Parts: sequence; structure tokens; C-alpha cells
Amino acid sequence: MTRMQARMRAAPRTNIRALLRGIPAAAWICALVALLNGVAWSIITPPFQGRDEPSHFAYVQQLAETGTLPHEVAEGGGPSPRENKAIEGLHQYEIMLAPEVPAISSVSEQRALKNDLSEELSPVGSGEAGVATSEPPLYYALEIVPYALGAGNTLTQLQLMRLAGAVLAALTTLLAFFFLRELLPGSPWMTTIATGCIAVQPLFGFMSGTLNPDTMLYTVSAAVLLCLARAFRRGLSMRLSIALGAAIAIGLVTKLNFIGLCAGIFLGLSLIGIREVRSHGREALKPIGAATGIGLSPVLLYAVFSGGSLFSSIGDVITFNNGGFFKEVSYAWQLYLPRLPGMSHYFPGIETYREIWFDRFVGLYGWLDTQFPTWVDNLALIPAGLIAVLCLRTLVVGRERLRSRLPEIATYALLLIGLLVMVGHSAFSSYLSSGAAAFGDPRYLLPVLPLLAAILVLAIRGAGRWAPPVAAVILVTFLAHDLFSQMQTIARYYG
Amino acid sequence: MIAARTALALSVATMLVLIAVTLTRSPVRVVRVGEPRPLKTLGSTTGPISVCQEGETLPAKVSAIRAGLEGSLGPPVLLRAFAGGRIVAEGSRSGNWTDDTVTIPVKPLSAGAHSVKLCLYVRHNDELLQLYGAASGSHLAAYSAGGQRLPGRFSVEYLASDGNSWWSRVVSVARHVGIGHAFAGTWVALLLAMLVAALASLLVGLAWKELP
Repeated sequence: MTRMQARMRAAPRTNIRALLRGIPAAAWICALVALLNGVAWSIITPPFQGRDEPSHFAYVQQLAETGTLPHEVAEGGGPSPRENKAIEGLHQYEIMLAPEVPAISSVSEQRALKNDLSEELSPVGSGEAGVATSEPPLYYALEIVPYALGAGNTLTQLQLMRLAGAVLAALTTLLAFFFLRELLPGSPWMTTIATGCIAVQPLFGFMSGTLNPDTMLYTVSAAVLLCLARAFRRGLSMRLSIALGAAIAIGLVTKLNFIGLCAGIFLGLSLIGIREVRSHGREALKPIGAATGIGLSPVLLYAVFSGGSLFSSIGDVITFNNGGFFKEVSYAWQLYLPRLPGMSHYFPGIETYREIWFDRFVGLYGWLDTQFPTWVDNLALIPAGLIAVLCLRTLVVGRERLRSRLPEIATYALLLIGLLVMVGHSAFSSYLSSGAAAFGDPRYLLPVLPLLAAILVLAIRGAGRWAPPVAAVILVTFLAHDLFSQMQTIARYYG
Repeated sequence: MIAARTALALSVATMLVLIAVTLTRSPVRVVRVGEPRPLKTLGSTTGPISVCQEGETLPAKVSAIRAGLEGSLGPPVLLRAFAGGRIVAEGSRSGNWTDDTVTIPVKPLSAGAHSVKLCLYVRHNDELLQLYGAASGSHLAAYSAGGQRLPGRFSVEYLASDGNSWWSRVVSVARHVGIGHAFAGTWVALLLAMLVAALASLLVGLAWKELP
């Protein structure tokens, strides 16, 4: 081997090392905090009490044990006998949605559970994975690794899979840190404080501590935001376009909700493309083409291998429901905003923007059954309002500078709107099929968590000369929110 | 620099005091169960509700009443308890509850009350709500505003503080945390405490170093 060949072979490793060495200690600490928080939540939340956790476990099990994707079954659909036994032993059905019923508590129940888990039962179920059946497979495929390490013990497998979610939370936090550095350069200590805040955001921590593809969606979305911010600030190089394309591809085969982000992503790419063509000519279109091509190609591949099931799922997602376009728009509007005159009343007696989105963001853990008392939600309006006012102050003061960044702001706004529309569409489908009033869950908005961090940076800036003490108070408020959320969940399950 | 670090130290101290004070409070427990289980569906509606039942006993110091009403995005609920023709307890719960029961906080009574009429009201609703309870004789059954009898009495549980603080229950809670997980034992609670202490220390330490 020549010296040149040896150097070329060593180059990628050196680059990765250099890349890792270039990450500031503050970013590593924030990531470690998010990891520890996710692990703590994984212990606090009893097994299978995460949102739809039995369905997600069934998906991984189906993939790991049979090598096939889950599918709808006409009759008798359900988890494997092995998973079912664990669920029964944990009294999962009695505990979920019933805050008055704690987790199993006696030594005899623990012994019975242990005996149940040691039984030689089939890990192959009906082939259905409940609400997860129609989801794309990437997250579940990755979870096969911890599943295999669990050596056939359902609870060990689930715990290891939850830990993978905590690792993803650390990665999300790291990406959010660099997103903030690109988006709002010039205030490194504010970036650190804001990233620290989202590292302990309790809903993010809770989700990271459970088995749910949302955790990977958060990571991929943070990567997309970072790529876009970098492209807006430094231009779209071929390397960056490949990274963005890969993030889009991974997002599309991670969770269908990612489709909601696509409008914003492609608007951003188009705006960057126009800018680049103006300054560098048509050559600049190559990276745009690469990002789009890479982003969409795995989806086509997957569609071929899954016999078109992905297309039917996407078709279900983007087709308007039988209720009609205007009804759906009216429903989606009221899911987030006050009803306008002439609209049908879909949520009588409920202020959705407050009671679904704000109150549930303040605290909704477990299987939608662990909340704070109403006075806590009311109290939370004070810090939230102060943060909003300080953020607005920064925006108003710096409005001249904002104009030059309108394309970037429009991109992030469309990302958020696309996500809201996607969630509104799913909620309306659920409303039509089951009559459920609304399936609004703030966890669906966490893919734009790095934007919340950006709001925090702007709020800290808005405090002017009081910025350092205000930042300290905001950070401890987030930490306290996390700790009290954990205490509330412990009281609900183990009190 | 001093202002930032002082604010950080004061905020952390305030948080620790609040946690300590919270742990001096007593957990709320069920002190009386109105109807024996198993429960069955007494009725369902997608409209308003006004339903009452008589013959309830309201224990002293009750801080919340839990009724067997199921909803997915529960609407606002009002509860009133009448004795001798006057309201002895009243409470409301805002919308946004997702359970098969709804817990409504009430102002604790200094003394209990007998022969209480308990009423549940939902003014605005268009989602499917189900009322759970137990079968009873017609004369004891709950009834709607129009006087129509239901097939039984809706389930009611009375909740009050049990007098023991969370501090005094730390060991039993720690034992409970160690049950039902992949790895069993009280050490799980200790591990949890160490994790939380580590993440809080790291975060506060980072802020201490980074704040200008």
C-alpha cells in the first residue's frame, strides 16, 4: 500500500475525529443531559404506558421475528402471545387511561409477571401492529438491534429499545445546538442556555424515554432544520445537499408525519436555488437536484419493495376525507384557532389553542392520563407569556434585519404550518371514523422543537442588559418543569 | 456576572424549596366509594348532560369527587352536591380530560353530609360521553333533568388527603418504583434519583460556567 493510499484510507476516520473534536463541550453536556433525562423518563414510565407502545413493540417484533412488515388483518388481530402475556402481567389495560389505577405494586404481582415472562410463548402475532401498522419501517428496523440484545425477555427488550430513544434525544439536542449557532450566530452562551432548556423539556424527555418513532422524527427534523439554516447562511454545497437529501429520505421512511414538513423543505430548497442561480448560474442547480433526488429515491425503492403500501398510506394521508374540503378546513382551523363566524362548532366549550395545545404541552404524560391540576396550567401562562413578550421585543427591535431573512423565516413558517395541517388532517380522519372530538397531542409539534429553542434565544436577547439573569431563570424554570413533571408521573403510577 | 450567577443560585434554591414543600403535602386517596364494581354503561350521549342521584354521603375533608364519565377530549364539567336544599359542595373541571373517569376538585367540607343529592352537568358537548355505574332499583337510580330514570347509579369516588406526607412515603414509593420493570428492586429508585441529580447538576453547572 502506498503512503497516498494509506492516507486516503485514514482520511474519513480523521475527519470524523476532527468533526467530533470540533463539537464544543457545552454541546456535549447538553446532549448528555438529554440522554440522562430520556433514561430517567424510561424508568419512570411503566412498561407499555408510553403512547401506543404495545403497537410499536408489535411492529418491531413482527419485523425482527418474521422479517416482514406488519399488515392489516381482517379478524383476530393482536400482539404476539409473548407480548400479550407481558401486557396482561403488567395490568396494562386496567392502568391506561385510568389515573386512579397505579402500576403493579405487590411482590406477588412481580413474581407472577416474572413467571409470565419466563414462559416459552410465541413471539409471532397476527401480523398486525395496531395503530403503527401503516407507518414506514426505518425506525422499527433500527430498534431490532436492542430487541435482539434483549434475549427474548419482553421487558428487557422494551427497556433497551427505550434507551435507543434516549440516545436519539441526545442526538436531537446536539443538532439543535448547531441549528441555533447557524440561525442566530453571535450569541454562543444564549445558544447553550436555550439548548439546555430543550434538553430538559419534559414532553420531549417523556417521549424519548418511550418506544415511539416520534423520537427519530425529532432527530431527523432537527437535522433538516440544521441543513436548511446552514444552506441559507453559507450556500448549498454538494456535501450539504447530500446531507439534506439523506435527512429527507430518512424522514420519509421514519414516520408519515414527516410529509407535513416537506412543503417547507421544498420551499426552502427552491428559495435557496433561486438565490444560488442568480449568483452562480445554472451550475448551482446541481446540489438542489441532488438533495431532491436523494430525498425521494429511497421512497421509490421502498414503495417497490412494499408492493405500493407506502403509496397507499401516503395517498390516505393526502386525500381529503369524505367529510369534504371545507369541513376539513373548518375542523383543522378550529383545532388550533378560535372558531370564525359561519363555521360549524366542532369543539363546543373548549378553547383548543389553550386546552389542547398549551395545557397539554405543560403536562400530558403516560397514556394521555397524567396531567397537572388546572391551576398549574394557568400559572404556566405567566412564564410563557413573558417569554413571548421578550421574543416579540427582539423581533420588533430587529425588524430591519429580519427583512433580509424573510425567505428563511417563510421556510420555517411553512414547515410549521405543514405540520399543523398534517396533524389537523389526521385528527379530522379520526373524528370521522371514531367520533373522537380531537386527537390533538403536542408531541406532534416536537419536530420543530429547535424552533422553540430559537424563540428562547430571541427571548433572552429581548431582555437586553438583563439577559444573563433572565437566561438563568428561564433555564431553571425548564428544569423545574421537568422535575415536577417527573414527580407528577411518579405520584400517578407509584404513589 | 454576579447578577446572572445570583439569579441562577436563587432560582435553584427556590426550585429546591418548592420541591421540598410539595413533598410535605399529602397524596390524595379514595376515602369512600359510592358504587360497587364491576361498572356498566348507564347511558351515552353526544349532547349536554344533567344527571343527579340522591342518597350520597359526603365525607368530611373531601377535596375532589371522581365520577364515572368517559370522554376523549372531555368537555367542561360542573358538579354540585345538595343537602337540605342548599349547595354544600361545588366544583368544576375545565375541558381536556381523556379518561374513563372525571375528577372534579371541590372545596373541602369541615364536616361530612348525609342524604346528599349529587348532580353532574355538562353544558356544551358534541363528543360521545359514556356514563358508568352500577345497576340499582328504580327508586335509587340516577335521573336526568327531565326526571327520566337511568338503569342505575353513576359511579362516584370521594377523594381526600390521607394525612401522611409524601416524605413519609418515600420508602414505599421507592419500593413501588422497583416493581414491574425489566430490572426489579428498590435500587431502581436509587438509580433514578442519581440520574436526575446528575442531569440537574450538569445543567446548572453548565449555566454557571457559560453565563456571562
